[in-house]
Amino acid sequence: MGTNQPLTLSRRNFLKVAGAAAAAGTGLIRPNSANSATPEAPSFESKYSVCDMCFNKCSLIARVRNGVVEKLDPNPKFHKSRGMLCARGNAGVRQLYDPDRLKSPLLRKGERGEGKWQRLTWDQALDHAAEQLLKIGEQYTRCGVMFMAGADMQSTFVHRFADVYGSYNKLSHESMCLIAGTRGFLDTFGEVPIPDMQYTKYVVMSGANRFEALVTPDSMDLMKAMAGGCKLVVLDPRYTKTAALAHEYFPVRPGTDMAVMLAFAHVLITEGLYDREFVEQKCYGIEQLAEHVKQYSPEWAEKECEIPAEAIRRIAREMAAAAPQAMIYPGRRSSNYRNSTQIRRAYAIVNALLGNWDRPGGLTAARMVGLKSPGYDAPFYESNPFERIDHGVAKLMFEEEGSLKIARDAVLREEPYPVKGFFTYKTNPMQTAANRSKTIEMIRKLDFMCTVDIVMSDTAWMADLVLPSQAAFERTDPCSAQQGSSACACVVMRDPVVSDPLFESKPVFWMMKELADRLDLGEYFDLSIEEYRKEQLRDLPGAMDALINDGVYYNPSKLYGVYEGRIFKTKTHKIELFNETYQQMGLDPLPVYESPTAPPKNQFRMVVGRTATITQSSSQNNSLLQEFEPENDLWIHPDSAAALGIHDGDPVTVSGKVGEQRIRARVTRRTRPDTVYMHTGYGVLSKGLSRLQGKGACIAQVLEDGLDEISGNMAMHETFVKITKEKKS
Amino acid sequence: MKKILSLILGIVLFLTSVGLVFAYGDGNYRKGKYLFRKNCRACHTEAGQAKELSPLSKTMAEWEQAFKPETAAGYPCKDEWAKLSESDLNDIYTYLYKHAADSATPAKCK
Repeated sequence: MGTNQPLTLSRRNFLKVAGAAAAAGTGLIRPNSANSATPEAPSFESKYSVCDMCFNKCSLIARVRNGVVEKLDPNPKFHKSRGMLCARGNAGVRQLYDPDRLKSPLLRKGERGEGKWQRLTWDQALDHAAEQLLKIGEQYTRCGVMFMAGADMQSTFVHRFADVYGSYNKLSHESMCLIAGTRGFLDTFGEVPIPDMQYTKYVVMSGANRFEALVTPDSMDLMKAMAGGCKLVVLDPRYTKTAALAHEYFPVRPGTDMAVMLAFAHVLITEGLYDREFVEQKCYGIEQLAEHVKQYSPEWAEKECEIPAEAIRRIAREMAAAAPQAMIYPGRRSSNYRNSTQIRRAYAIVNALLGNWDRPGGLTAARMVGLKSPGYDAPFYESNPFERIDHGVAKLMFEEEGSLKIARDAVLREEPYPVKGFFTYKTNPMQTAANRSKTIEMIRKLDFMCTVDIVMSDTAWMADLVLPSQAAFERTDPCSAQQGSSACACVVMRDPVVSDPLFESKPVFWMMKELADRLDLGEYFDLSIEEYRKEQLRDLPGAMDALINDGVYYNPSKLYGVYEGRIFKTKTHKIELFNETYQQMGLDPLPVYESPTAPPKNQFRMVVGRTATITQSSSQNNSLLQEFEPENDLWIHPDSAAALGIHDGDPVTVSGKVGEQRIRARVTRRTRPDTVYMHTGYGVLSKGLSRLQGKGACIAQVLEDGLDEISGNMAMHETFVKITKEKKS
Repeated sequence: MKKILSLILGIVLFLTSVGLVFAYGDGNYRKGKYLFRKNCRACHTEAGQAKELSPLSKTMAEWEQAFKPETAAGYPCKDEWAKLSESDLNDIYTYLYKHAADSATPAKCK
């Protein structure tokens, strides 16, 4: 067993894990070794790796026979996923062996998006890319090239390349996902908390769908907590599977979550139910908050959110009774409304009133993992403009994430300066960014676009140069730190599971190194992944052995009471119920409720969501997962459908201000009468995704690209659409 | 004597003006990052001669204090400071202050 274990295992869990380890010792599980000890042992090798099917990066064991991965199993020693692997993870084999994988570098020959390509050698492709990067850099400064990388274990090398090339226009996917929530919690607690789901007793989950949009360990831990008596209350305009499993479900009116939170705060304060000692010692601004929420009674909130006042009052009291083992679940994707940062601030404030910070069953601080980020001294280019292209619009944008919404508008306007190059790695803004027509328009403004991916995504389809990346199981990757509250603070890494990468694919690290060499920047990439890892692990003796033997390294760092004797990393050094920085910047220092506009007559609000078998837009073409969701459809309430003469399965047109799509209707009570929904990632343009041709509709074509004015998050729930029944031909 | 007095006056004026510039923290923080790494990180690293430093090492108030002329005058590296221009020092200060531990945009370790 050794010492490589999370700190907080209960005795029961310890015995369970010990059992698994004992099983491993008998030859049932022996990663990194051929199982030839017993006559009945299977003739396959077992190798640790890390799942690549979503951002969670769960450790797994690949079963390899004759050099071919036949099956993926969970790593029982990986506590962040509680020793499990989801449906998407199991389907990772088909990502590796997808016949649609990109096979060689391709250069566009026809119009953008026309699908005419010329096959290039790697030298030709990299020479061409280097030439274009130099040309744009000379003509428009180095900031004239924008870089965007997804949540991949090698994305750090794309950022390093952008830094040394000299562009600070670096973007991630997160401005289409979670940065409003991150901002809201950071600006309250001084860091982004990790919910301690396993030991909580009461959860209010608003606008999150944790039993479908899986997050490890939250999804598993909540299920276990509920088995032990934890109550789950779900607020969602859609009756999700999480809602179906909840003790109470309220189909909240979209965009009114803040009203519910402010009413919770009203009850907690007016009835004296909040944690007085905690708030007095650790929070700033209770007087201002108390005065502010006087106006937000449950009776007032009922009119906004359509949740009965008595239920709001009761839930607030129940939370207070369960506190500090009670929480408003912080959630993940918060790219919803133009005031999503303030909505999430309201979530954070109620958590502070419950006094659940840094305590079991509440919100925990990030634990020490101890992984180092190897630094580098990037050159400074005097000719560069002073700021990023997306600077100055959102008041508190995260530099390291940027804002695709703002950057895209800036590229289109060519202000504050022209950006004519775009490099993307394993991210697909053509499908994940609202207003696809605008993304296409932006791409058409470019002189050069290079996309690195495993398959011909819609984004690759629009590029000038497409470079084939290796799949995860073919790569040597850096170590990755993971936070899992009571489950772990841990490190995972990836070594090749198969020895021969398919086709001509290469890792993006190699591409960056080759491009750096061609641009006289080779000194910044004078390293191997092995050396990089060694640097990452330099303060963690024994970590590499643990990674090799167990597939995971655990840092037994402190979980609760991390803030004892420490200040909060905020301006007042306390939890900021009232945020003075916001006030100085002209922002509301306390969340002020604004009623969302109701959809015009015969129109519907469109919302975004997830299922358990789809990761944004990257998994729909997977041959196993496609069996679960062959195509998307439009969820519409029976009353609304009846008023429009629409029956289940009818083809309809969904039209909004920025675009329209054809799709089949799914008439269901699982959505409110004023709300419609469709899955993300269908209606593709790329002809390189063979299983998705003619399947479903593209939500990005219909969604308007609103903006959260504080964080720069794209606001995707601000779209109203008309639904029209298609005439039968 | 006059020379000494004018030298002292000159130093006081210089430090005061530098202090005023720093008080604004309006330098180029990107250049400040580059200059910090180039000039300070030679010693202020884990294995260096001086205490490891990054923007996260201090709060905004602590960086403000650290860059006050009277504080800086006591540093073992005061001679190195003197070689930096006002503009460079302001860039470095702006970088450190903007990404301090309790700032709205705390630095990511790199």
